[in-house]
Amino acid sequence: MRLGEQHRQVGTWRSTALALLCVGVGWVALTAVEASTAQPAPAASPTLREALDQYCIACHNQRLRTAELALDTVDASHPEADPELWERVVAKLRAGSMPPPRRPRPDAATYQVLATQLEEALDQAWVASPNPGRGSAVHRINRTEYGNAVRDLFALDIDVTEILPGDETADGSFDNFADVLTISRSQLERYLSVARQVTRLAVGLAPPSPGFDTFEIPLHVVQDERQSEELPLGSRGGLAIPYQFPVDGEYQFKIRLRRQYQRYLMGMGWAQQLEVRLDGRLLERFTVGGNAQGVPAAASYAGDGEPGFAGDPDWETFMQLTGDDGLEVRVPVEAGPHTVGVSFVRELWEPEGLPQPLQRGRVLTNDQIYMGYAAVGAVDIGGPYTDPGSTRDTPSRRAIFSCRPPTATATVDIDEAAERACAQEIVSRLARSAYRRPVTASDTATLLEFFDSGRRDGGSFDAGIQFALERLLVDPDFLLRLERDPAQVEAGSVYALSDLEVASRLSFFLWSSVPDDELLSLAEAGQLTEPAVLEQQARRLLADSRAGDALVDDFAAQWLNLRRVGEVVVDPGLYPHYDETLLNAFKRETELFVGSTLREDRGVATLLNADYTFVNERLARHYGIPGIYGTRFRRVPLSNLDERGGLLGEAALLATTSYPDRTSPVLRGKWLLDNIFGLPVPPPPPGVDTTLEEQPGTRPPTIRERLAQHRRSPTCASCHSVIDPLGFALENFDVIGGWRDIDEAGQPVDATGTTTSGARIEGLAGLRALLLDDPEQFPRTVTEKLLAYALGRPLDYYDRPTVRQVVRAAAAEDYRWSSLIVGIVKSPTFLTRAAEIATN
Amino acid sequence: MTFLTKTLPRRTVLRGLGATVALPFLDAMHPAFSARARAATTAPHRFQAFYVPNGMAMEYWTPKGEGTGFELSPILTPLAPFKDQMIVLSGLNASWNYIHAGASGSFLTGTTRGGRNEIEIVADVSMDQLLARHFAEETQVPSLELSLDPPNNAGACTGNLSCVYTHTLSWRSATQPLPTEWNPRTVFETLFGDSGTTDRAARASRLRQHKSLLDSVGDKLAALSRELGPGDQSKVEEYTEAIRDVERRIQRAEEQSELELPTIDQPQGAPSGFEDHLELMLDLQLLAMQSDLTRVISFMIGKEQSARPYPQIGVPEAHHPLSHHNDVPELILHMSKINTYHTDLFSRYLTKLRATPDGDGSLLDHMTILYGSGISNSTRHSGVDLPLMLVGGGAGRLPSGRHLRFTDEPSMANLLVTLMDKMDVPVERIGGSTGALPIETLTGLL
Repeated sequence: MRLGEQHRQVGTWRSTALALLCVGVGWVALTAVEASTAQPAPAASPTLREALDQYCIACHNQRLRTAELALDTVDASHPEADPELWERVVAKLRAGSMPPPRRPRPDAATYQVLATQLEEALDQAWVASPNPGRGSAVHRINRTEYGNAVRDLFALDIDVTEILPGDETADGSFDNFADVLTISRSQLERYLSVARQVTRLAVGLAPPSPGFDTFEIPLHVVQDERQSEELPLGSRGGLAIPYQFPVDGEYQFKIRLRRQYQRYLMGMGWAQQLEVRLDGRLLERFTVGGNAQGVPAAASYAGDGEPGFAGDPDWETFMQLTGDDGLEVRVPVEAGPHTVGVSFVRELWEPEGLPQPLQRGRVLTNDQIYMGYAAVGAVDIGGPYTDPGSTRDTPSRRAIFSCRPPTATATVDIDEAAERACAQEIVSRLARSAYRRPVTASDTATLLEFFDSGRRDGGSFDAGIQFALERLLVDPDFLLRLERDPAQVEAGSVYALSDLEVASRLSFFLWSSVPDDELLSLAEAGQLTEPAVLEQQARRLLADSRAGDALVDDFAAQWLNLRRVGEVVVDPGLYPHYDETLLNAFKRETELFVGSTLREDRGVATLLNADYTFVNERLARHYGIPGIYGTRFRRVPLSNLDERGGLLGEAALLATTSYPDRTSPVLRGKWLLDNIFGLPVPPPPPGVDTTLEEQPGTRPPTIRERLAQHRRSPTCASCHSVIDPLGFALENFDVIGGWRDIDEAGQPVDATGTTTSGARIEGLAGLRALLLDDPEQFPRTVTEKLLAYALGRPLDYYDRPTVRQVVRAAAAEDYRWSSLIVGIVKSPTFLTRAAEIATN
Repeated sequence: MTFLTKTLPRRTVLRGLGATVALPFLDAMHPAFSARARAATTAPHRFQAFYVPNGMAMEYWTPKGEGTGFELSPILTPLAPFKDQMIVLSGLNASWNYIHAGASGSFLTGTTRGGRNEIEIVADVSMDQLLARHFAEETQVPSLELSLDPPNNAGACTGNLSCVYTHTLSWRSATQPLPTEWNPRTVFETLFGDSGTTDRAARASRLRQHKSLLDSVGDKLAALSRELGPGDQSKVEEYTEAIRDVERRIQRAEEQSELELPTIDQPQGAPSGFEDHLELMLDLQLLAMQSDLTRVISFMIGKEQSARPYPQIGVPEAHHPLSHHNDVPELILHMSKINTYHTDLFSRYLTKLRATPDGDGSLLDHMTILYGSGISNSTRHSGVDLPLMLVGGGAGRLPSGRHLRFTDEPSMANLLVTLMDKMDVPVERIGGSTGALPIETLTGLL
């Protein structure tokens, strides 16, 4: 059977090509290693045409059209004439995945020469005539950007995940891709509702009825340690709630304790102290537990069901109904953001330093629960419960009310003109920021209409401002990022984005928010796109703390699976020490780690080969790092880089690429290829059964044995011979990222993998070495991710030259974050756009 | 008829955090029925599942006699006024009988098996969700999943299986259980928006505000659309379409704002007393159906395996442990008090439903309520001969009151197929059903 026919059976060009692209990774390593150790071939490398004729056209010709690619008739001397085709060829050459295994192939040097040649030709042509692609003209802001915009406009921190729906993302894309950001009726209704809530809170209008919010602690959060930096040292459990109090008034905090599955309160067998604090100030301390009357229930009800397994009625009533009555505090609170803290005073069973009794476990018997730690189940915050007087200043009121009209007194009427003038000042200023452009007369007129209406219906100046701002937050100019073709531009040509459009792109890229005053002013003056100014502004934005937050919480959190850590499911039978507190620690570690590389502007390779990380006591214990105490996260040096160091040894990544009851080299390998190597793999062909057979009654096979099935079928082997070895290298990390020397099958861990080219990688260190061998490879992946995130669209062939150019230029600066980011900002892909092609 | 007065007594404002509240502006879209239209057209058919946990004292549940002339049992006696709209079904078996998880897990799904361990969460799509999908276009809220206990989707609760199974009846798909809502405040917000009241003037005012916002935004979008090329207009069109959609709903809501709804203040969380909590939740359900905000509700008076004690009726023992009475007659009788308490409270709810005018009859006439449990003999977690009944007029689709005994041991899943048919959303199969259950016959024998 000829190779060409085999390929046709497997599927479309794309899937086969990508399938065989998989083969490449090992080749890259091997070819690089070979080039450095083998004697360089003395003969001159063949020309591109010669190479194609010798190695490629046997399959890729007009007659066979393998993978819909015919290389015999193309003009190899002018690759720039068909960049789409030649970028495909370059990708194959760089990955070394063509020709396929067992076919004659050129030597490593030739791959290098030909790829470079092609890239140079393509890049030169691109520079002469850039193709920046055409992102969507109408691009809704996502909920993260909405929340950040509200924060920057009104100095109001809101939790968007509670009030706005999330935006769907497919694997590998970001939730700021224009195409996923649809506008449906239900979304519009949410925006209408949220605009009202947010503006009422920001302006400080009394809510129509007392608010009531419940904050629950998930069951799997173990409350035997200090839960937050906002809670006092020496506290245990509970939670700290950052809360926006709308107006001055009396508020009530009510605490409900945690119950076990039989509905009994936990830990009532002994007295414990429960504290309620406001901004750290103690409001009240309650004693809970230790006062149940009567005979307790039997240890468990399981048994013969004799009468008497229940406790005395008094005891039952206390444990089921009244035990946590009266845990309420009612206090006056000033409007604005405050922190409500609820926690127990920590009293240890054993002296500090010794292991404490395990507080976790399923279906604990009633007497174990009884003498364990009490825990907080939920906290309700309700209010205000009195008629509020005048609302004092809050940060958001200060941000909004840059002026105040004179108030009416007994002798002086309301000065309507003064009110309207002040309203105009406020709305035009906020509209400029919200709409990201100079305000027009029509904008102001519309907003003032709503001011008038709100003033009338609500009876106060503040109510008028609130309604105007409500209108502002549902305006298309706020919710949509717009890029319009200039009037006179020719169809299909490339034009420069306006300064204002660039300002928006820049601030949404680096801050996930609206531009600030300095950026807008420069754009309005037409100075932003001057290269020196642009670079200076990019660096200024990057240096602002908002960039660190946005790039970690938005960009890195999506790229590195941090948003999926909360969804991790772990078999508690196999991992009894797992709980949600540990999962949260994983997320925090990676956030702090990536954040540190950004703030210190390190070379991106640090993400892989750093010799430090961030841990607290719980995580340090999990990683086997001795001598760390306390719940605070702190930076620690790592002594054994074979076991930890860099992203690949961080539990967040390892846990989100595992199954609940076993590791998965396939999931890990695939994730690495997609997100670290930058060589994504396609899914299995349709109709393939992907379950691994398990013979009941036999010794459970090792993962390696089960995955050996992959190698038996050539179709499977083409991808899995690339994916699996990478995953094997991480086999020393169990489902929750802990180090192990024995795997699930009870065998010593074999963390070696052999790539398709025969190169052997072992463990974390081996994987790291493979990645860093070509110094451009990882920076290229990072640049691709950053560029897609910056543009809000997936990349295509015409973006490759930009990626190459940015990485090349960044080499001089060791591929620091800033060099990649500034490189992107200065590229034509970021600053220009292709005009619409006329369709008729 | 006290329910229909404009101002409710202050008992709807809750203890614990009790405070009076002003009537706020309404932020709501009510679709469908205007007062005029309501009289003219047929009132819609609503479905409600009303689940009671931990099985039943079957000796006190099963009626004597069959057919239309059956005798009410002690537990059913509080429902005497509704005997003519009550079909008691005996002889059905649970499709998945596994301790407590199977009981609630198969009640509306008809599934024959669930997961095998704590982390495997699988059943089948439930019939209420199939109905919800069907009605989603016509009602603002496709369905409500309610309970008096908070949801729980972590940990193992029964026989090594996830707590999810016992805390909900509704499954959107075979792998997506739906969490229940237990907080009346949240239910109110779902139905009436975040500034909730049902006061007519307030609603109308808020609707006007929404209209003016959308008008203004729509104008701006039209201008924007004119500036864009044809390729770029689709997104704007999406936005404009969304606006038109919302405007349509506002229009219908304005038509409907003539409807007299009782004025309810937004609840301040869940009342601490069982009866208060239950009554408030049921009042909200009645209101939701009366105003056609939804036509599909699943409600659990307690999670399956509920350990709630009932000291107020002289049963201070936790329900679940008590349900393991080991067939001791005194304990069965003692437990039956809980069952009777539940039907008594249910009867008060039915009274209100019957007193609510709806189309050409009452709300109860246009409802099919499935009441019962997924366990019969509680001490053995038996899944044989489940305690089940259908209550309501079923919009004319349900036959009149009778006791039907099935002797060929049909699966309860078959009943679910029949119910889908009665709701005019016929399906081939629910879970592991083997056909439909004939309920028109007098004896139930095939």
